[in-house]
Order: sequence, then C-alpha cells, then structure tokens
Amino acid sequence: MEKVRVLVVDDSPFSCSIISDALTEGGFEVVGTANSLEEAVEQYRRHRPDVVTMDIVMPGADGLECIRVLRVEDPNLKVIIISSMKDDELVQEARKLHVAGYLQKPLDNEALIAAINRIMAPDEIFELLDSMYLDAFKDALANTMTKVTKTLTEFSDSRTVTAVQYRSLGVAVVVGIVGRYSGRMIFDLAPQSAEELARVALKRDPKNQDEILATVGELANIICGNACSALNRKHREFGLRVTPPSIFHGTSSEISSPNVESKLVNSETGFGQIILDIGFQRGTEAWT
Amino acid sequence: MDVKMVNPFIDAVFDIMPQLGFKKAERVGLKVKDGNLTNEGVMVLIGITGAVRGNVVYNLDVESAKKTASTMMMGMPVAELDDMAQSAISELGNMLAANASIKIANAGIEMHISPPTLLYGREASLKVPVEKVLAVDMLVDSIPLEINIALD
Repeated sequence: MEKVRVLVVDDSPFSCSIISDALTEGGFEVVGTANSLEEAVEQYRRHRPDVVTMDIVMPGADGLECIRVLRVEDPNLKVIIISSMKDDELVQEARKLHVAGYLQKPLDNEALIAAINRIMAPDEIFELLDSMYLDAFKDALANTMTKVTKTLTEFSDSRTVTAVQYRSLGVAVVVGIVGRYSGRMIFDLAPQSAEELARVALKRDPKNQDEILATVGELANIICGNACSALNRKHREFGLRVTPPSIFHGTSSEISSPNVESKLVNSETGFGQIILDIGFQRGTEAWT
Repeated sequence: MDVKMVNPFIDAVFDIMPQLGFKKAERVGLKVKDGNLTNEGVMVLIGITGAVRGNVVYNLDVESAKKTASTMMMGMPVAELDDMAQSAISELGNMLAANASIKIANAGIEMHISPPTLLYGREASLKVPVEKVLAVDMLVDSIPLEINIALD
C-alpha cells in the first residue's frame, strides 16, 4: 500500500520537526514542511498531499485562514489542526471548515497516527448512503409522479459524474440537503414539460409562469423530502433534511456543483424527459 | 424576514475577503426585491434550513467572477471561467455562508447550509420561494458582489 503523504504547516521549525518525526515513525511520508501561508500554498501545489497538519497561530496569517486558502485549491482537502490552543470558538470554526481532526499540543504521537488512519479509512456510513440513495430518489420520483399525475415513469441510463456541468433543459429546481452528509438534488425538465406537469398536478390551466415554476418546485421538494425520509428510515444517522427549493430557468442556463460527486439519472415520464441529479459531499468523521 | 439576519451575511464578507487576498470590502446598497432574481452572470446558490429556512444567492457578473477567482488563487490569471475558477467561486459562496451561519448560530439561532450550486447564463433567472428578498450590494476591491438573502 502506498504511504499516506502529509504536509506539515507550523511556524515553529521545532514543532515541524516534532510532528514530522511522529509522522515518519507512524509510517507516513512527510512530503514537505511550511512555516507560512505562502509556503503552505507553494508546497501544497507542488506535492498535492493526502493530509495537511496545520498550526492555528502563525505570524501574518492564522491557520484557519490558511485552511480557507488551501480549500480554494482543493475543496475536499483533509486537514488536522495541531495547536496549543483549543477553545469552543476555535473548535466551532474548525467544524464549520470541515476540519478532519483537532489535536492539542504537546502532541500525543499515538493520537496523531490514529487520527490520520481514521481520516484515510473508508467512510462506511458514506459508502452506505452512496450505495442506496439513487434508488431512493428514483422511487420517490416514480411514486410522486404516479400519485400526483397517475402516469408511469421509466428510467433509462444513470451514471456517476464528478464536477458535473451541464446545460439545463430549461427549468431546473435545486433542493439543498443537510444532515450528516450534505448535498443537493436537481430536478431538470423542459419548459413545455414543466407547463404540462403543472397543468396535470393542478388539474387546471396554470395562471402564469410563476405558478408553473412554483408547482414544479413543490413537486421537486416533495420528491427530495420523500427520498430523504426513506433514507433516514433505513439509517437514522443520516439525519437528512431539505432546504426550500429554488428554480433556475432560462434559455442558456448551465449548472455545476464543483465540489459534489453526483449521480445523474434520465427518466422518461408522461411529460417528457426529466433529469434527476443527486449528489452528496463526503463528510469528515466526528471528532472531539 | 428578520432584518437582524442580514448583518451576519454582510459581516461575513468583511471577515472572509481579506483572508482571501482582497484589500477592501464595502457595503454600497440595500434593496428589496421579489422572489424572481435575474442572473448577472454567475450565481452561487446555497440552501438554508434549521430555525431559519430559505436560500442565499451570491451573484456576480462573469468578469467580476473571473477577477475574484484570480485573486483567490493568489493572482493566477483566469481567462475563462473554467472548472478551477468555478470551484473557487462556489467555494467562496460556501465560506461566506458558513461564516454567516456561525454568527447566526452564536446568536442562538440554529442554521445549517447545503453545498453550493453554481448557475450561470445571462438569459436566466432564479425563482426563490419567498415574497421578499433583501439584496445587499457590496464592492470588494471595486468588484461588485450582490448578496440575495431569501429567508422565510
């Protein structure tokens, strides 16, 4: 197995050497050390490490700032904070930055090795979600269409895509998802399909464009909510909740979710093609 | 929507932008819109749920998005809004919204954010499910950035 490659960022050469020694002893490869924000970026670009250890207090730039800058390079960057300081406010900031671990100095070598092994281990709960969410969303779409419009839905191809970027069919509802893993669902269809779907769902002619969009938005919201509930029932720890739907519409609209790995499924409904694109972000394991 | 929810989103810009290499951020205007937002070029959409629900939408024109991405990547030239630049812009939205959510959580209001979705295309609009949207105009190193706060 290849060694896990680590970049050590700490303004103190003493700390850098202590941390590097601990990592080397633990069987990891230290690809570089950096004493400042600029060095950290330069070293990061050169080595593309698997994990970065980060001090919080550094002259000129603090570690949290450094994490933000490195996140621009790689939004999924795995960072362990190693700092003499650890208070509620820092911990809260670190959690919001999806830091993968937080260790206090003086460094406990075993704890550092355990933290890296934990970060690099496959995330079983995510794998579980990943293996079942596409079916849950397909079921939710088919069931909602059957209940609301009495029509059948057929699925054709589905594929997994990263950093997907595509041209919308014309009306794209985006529903955010938060929980143990956060993500989003996009429900995309042509304007004529949206109008026809709204007509059948409302059982009358829609009054205007606004009503069409609102109706399609609500249907997407129901589909996403039903799918998330079904997933939560299978595994309580997912704790998925949806955010209110927004509807993107226009002639030349492109959509991308650069930091989300997603699954895209094509369906043929009584109202034409509907694309469902669902993606979740890999989270970081809990730490204390 | 409670107006006290607006300041955390503005303060987040003051907090985060200097950390990403920008020198000066200023608030230049505030207006109220309905739920139909016109895309100036690039929109970063983030869903919000918890004790408050809704969406926040950061909007920039394409040139501004390129300039912003370039500064965030420590001056790397950005000729086109390619994958890397798009990733930077969507990460910016994520950082700004996350920072605002910490401030709001500190005020005792639970709030969670979804990952960002990037929407672009000038001939496009975004409908958010609220009647009133507060739109804050900011200038960051003379680059216009609009924050649309659409909370229940």
